[in-house]
Amino acid sequence: MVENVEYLALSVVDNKTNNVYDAKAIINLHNVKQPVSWINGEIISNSQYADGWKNSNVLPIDSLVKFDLQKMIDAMDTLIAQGEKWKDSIVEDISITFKKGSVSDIFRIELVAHIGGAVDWSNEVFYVKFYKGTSLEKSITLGFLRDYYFQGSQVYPHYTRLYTPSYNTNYMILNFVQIYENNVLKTYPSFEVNAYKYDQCKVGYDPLIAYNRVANSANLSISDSTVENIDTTQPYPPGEDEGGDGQGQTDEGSTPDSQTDNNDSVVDAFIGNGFFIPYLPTNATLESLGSTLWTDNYMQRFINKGIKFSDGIIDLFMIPIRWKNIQAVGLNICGVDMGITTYRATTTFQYIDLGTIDVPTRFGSFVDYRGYSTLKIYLPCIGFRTLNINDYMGKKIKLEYKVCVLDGSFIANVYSVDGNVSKITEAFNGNCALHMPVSSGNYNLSLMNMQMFPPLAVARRCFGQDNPDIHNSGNLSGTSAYLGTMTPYLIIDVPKMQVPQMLPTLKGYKSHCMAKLQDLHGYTEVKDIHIDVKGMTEDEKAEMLNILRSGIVI
Amino acid sequence: MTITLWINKSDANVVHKDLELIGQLNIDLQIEKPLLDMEITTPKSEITFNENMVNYITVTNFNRDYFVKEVVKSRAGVITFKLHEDVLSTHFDKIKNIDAWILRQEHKANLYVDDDEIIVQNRSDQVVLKFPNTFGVDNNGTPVGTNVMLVLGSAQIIKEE
Repeated sequence: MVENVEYLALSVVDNKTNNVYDAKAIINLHNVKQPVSWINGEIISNSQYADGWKNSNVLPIDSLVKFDLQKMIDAMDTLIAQGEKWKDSIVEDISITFKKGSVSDIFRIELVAHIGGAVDWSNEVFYVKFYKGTSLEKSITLGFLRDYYFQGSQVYPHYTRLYTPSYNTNYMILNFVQIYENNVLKTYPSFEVNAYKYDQCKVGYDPLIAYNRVANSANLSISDSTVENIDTTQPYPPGEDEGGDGQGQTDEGSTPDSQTDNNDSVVDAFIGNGFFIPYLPTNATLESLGSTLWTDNYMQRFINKGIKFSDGIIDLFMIPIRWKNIQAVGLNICGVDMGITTYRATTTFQYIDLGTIDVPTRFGSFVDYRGYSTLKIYLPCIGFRTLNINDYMGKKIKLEYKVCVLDGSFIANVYSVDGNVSKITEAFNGNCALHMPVSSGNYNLSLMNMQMFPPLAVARRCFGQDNPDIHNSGNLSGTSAYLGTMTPYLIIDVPKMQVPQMLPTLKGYKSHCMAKLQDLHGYTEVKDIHIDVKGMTEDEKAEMLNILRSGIVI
Repeated sequence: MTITLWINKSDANVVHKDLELIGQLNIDLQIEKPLLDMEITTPKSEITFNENMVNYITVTNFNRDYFVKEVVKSRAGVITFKLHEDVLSTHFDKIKNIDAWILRQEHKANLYVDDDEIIVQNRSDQVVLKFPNTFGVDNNGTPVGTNVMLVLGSAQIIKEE
């Protein structure tokens, strides 16, 4: 097996325009015995970005590229038929899995070589196997092993080391690749600028690689897609051969979408009950009001009523959203018409959609889930919260805030989105109100002074911060919320692996499936088998069972 | 009874052994039925090869393969091969069509099942994924905000006395 082999079904798409660009596959081949030249390439575009890309080797932010796999295979067939030979690369058992367009088939191109350890590979025999799912479609024997360089749908056999994508500090650090895995398109963070992401890679390794995953056919092959019929006499239905999400049977129906809650219209009925009004004054209105309140005319009017104007103001605060449902009204305080036209809120709640992002699996295995990986979310005006990673891994997370205009409180709804099924799985409450004093009352806000401080200026200063390295925050509600970042984000902690290179060959992977031994190859450990055949003594059957349980190589 | 002698280059748990033929012998086997463990004796004079190289024997009459556990040479010029049946290679074809509960496999894996053989380090990598929208910022990146002033009373003006 080759270590440090990454495979790419490079998906580079502009997330803003959804333009899809051709890509060059990047296959990085390293061998335990000796480093070999490796193929690298650049992401190119087939659109208006092409020239810019080619000239500067610049990778657009969040680019996505897709392959046309059938064309690649056809091209490889053509080249092989023409007598193209492999050379130089030391490949033992590397599989490169691609998704064929939008079809559900998964093709695995397996490069298998007999390695004798010789420097001169001219006498070695190599062959290429083409798999469709788990079925071998074609096996071609080649004279030599060659680096294949895939450019979009084209395959070029002559390239070994190519120029590497050059990055500079102007780049957005994070980019994503999308890889079809088990028929599902998933997004993975791909690389970081100015960093060799994977420490076991050789010097000079360019970080344009999907993720650190030792490529072998077990890792890349799809699980047995057949699902056994449930035996109704059994208390426990047999597990799926394809890994589930670790949650067992769940109700896949949607939880109520918060935006369709019936209580919104009920609560809205109170907002104009005549006892209080939620005005939405602009900064200019507040300044005007501040000036008006201290005039003799209005001071006297309040005195005549036996009240202070501040008695009529329940609260004054700013919330960091633009309230949509408003109505122009005249401003009056305790029945005193201030002669100012302003706005009032006509709804109690407003929903803020902070977006949906993928939660990519890193390994496509149990390591991505609870017990090994963790998931935290940073929520503006709340802080860090830990999520149950099993609810979101391999799916999408949608974040929505439901803000109340009456006091700035809100609830942050975290949705788990799996295909067309969306359900609220977590909810956190917080408060995003930035209070402002209206009297010489006891406010401990160091940001405020005695003037009617323009709240947006405060917001602008605080919103400029964008430090995703804040960890372990407490509660960031109220004023302190504005001292932190206002962009929500996820932090996924994934353990580094320590997997022996020869593990699949010596020990295999957990399988727990039913299969006939004739359909398998490689290391195999049998949990149990009913040996009821003629021509074997009981002693032989017993020994056979022991041998099968201790592991065999087919 | 004819036996075939081989050099086995494969591990014992490999189904299809990589065998190098050494030779064949006609022997007089004293047993009628195959056993898991048995011995084969032959005069040294019958052997035209280095008997120490032999580590695998096929007994044609029994249609069974055997590992050679020990080669004993007696002073009387008799070579004894102590054998243990290679049950796996001998009978694999009989069982290969039977459905088996596979616990571990090199290529057919369910990677979502906990696996004690997969070791993780105490160190971890962190992936930071930002949501596309920022709270308090519109689509153009401009900070937004709304002042809220809760006031007692209603919009209707009350006439002063």
